[in-house]
Amino acid sequence: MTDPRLLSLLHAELDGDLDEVGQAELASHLAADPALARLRAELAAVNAGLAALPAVEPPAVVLADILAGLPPLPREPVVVPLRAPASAPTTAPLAAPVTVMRSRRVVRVWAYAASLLAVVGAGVLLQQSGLLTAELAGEAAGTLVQPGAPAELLDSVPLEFPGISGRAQAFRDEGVRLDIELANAEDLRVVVFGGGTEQVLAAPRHTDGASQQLRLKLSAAVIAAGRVNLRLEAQGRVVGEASLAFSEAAAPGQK
Amino acid sequence: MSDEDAELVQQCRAGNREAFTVLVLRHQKTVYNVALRVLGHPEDARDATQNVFLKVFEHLDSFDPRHRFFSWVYRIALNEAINRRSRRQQPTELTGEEPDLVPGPEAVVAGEQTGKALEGALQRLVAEQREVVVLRHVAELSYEEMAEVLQVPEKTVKSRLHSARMRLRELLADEHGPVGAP
Repeated sequence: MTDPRLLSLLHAELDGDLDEVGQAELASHLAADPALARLRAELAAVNAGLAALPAVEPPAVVLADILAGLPPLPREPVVVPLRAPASAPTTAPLAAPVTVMRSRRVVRVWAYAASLLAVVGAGVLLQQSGLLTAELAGEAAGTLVQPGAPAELLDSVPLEFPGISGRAQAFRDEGVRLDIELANAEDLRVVVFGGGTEQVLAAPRHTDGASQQLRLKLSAAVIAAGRVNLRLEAQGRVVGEASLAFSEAAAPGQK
Repeated sequence: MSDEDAELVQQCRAGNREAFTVLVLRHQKTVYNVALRVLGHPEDARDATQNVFLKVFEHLDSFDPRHRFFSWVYRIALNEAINRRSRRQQPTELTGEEPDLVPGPEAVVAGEQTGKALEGALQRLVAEQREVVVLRHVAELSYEEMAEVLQVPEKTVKSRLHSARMRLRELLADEHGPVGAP
């Protein structure tokens, strides 16, 4: 085992941080200790190899992808109505629907360990690691759901947008349940709409990258429509959209 | 460099999108190479680089101009790459499979392949060692700058780099014989 002080001198030399006194001390040790001289040569080879690692030019597509993925600048706000006008159908097809997976596999959904929060208005239960709130507009898109029961996955879509990652899943669970997992670096409003109803959930940002979970039991009107739509909004602009279909789902009370 | 970045950031905040393009052009090579050396896969490095700059763009308003822009960007880049690597559950650590940058034993015989062997060994370092090596030798930062990026004291940076060098030497010797031997 090499003396820690000698090791320190070796590294200082490699870093160009060794003064004349240190250099003289190291030189005397190197002359007397072949093992130390070998170690010095090996570390110098490692250092030289690292310094010689080639810098790779990023593919041109990197810049193109970055620029294509940029949202509007903060000083260029896009004004988007948070709610559709009363006369407008809220079940209109999304401009860019996300491809849905038609998985019929039965999955077991574990009870979330996070605390249960925010039962508001018509009875929305949201489960997540942080604070959630809900605003209800007219007839709610969803109602209280109880946690923990095994459920059949009906549909699943990724929620991958700049600064956001997560997934939305619809489960058959004494009706249809919507689970949304989100990791978002910006405060979000999650608008859930379909079947002539709309509901707004708040998903506060988690700057540590942790994800939060929202759960919602869909109303009979949404289930009857066979589709639920999601619109993610940040600072008044739409940052992502998704849609889940569950045409084969049983209506409440049916099996 | 820092002053020019600060000016560009200010222009971005004022709504000048072209200024952001210039910032990307100034830093994308380093960010990409940092991601590449941490992740070991060009495709992952590409995705990570894109995410880094999208995050930078989204959080420009929260950037504190008293700090150097590049240290903020490189911090985001390191976090993105290391988190991405953790999520991917690097095969090297779990199954012993080698990432893309690792050469076969025969490749090490040729002198020009030494760099490849080092790249492979770099993938086997623990995260805190890998990040100091990457900041020092890929981003070419000083100890002071590395300390700013990593938010640790300079002596900690030095200590980690010394440990990383020793570990690289061991890894190369274990697989290919003594480093620098003919």
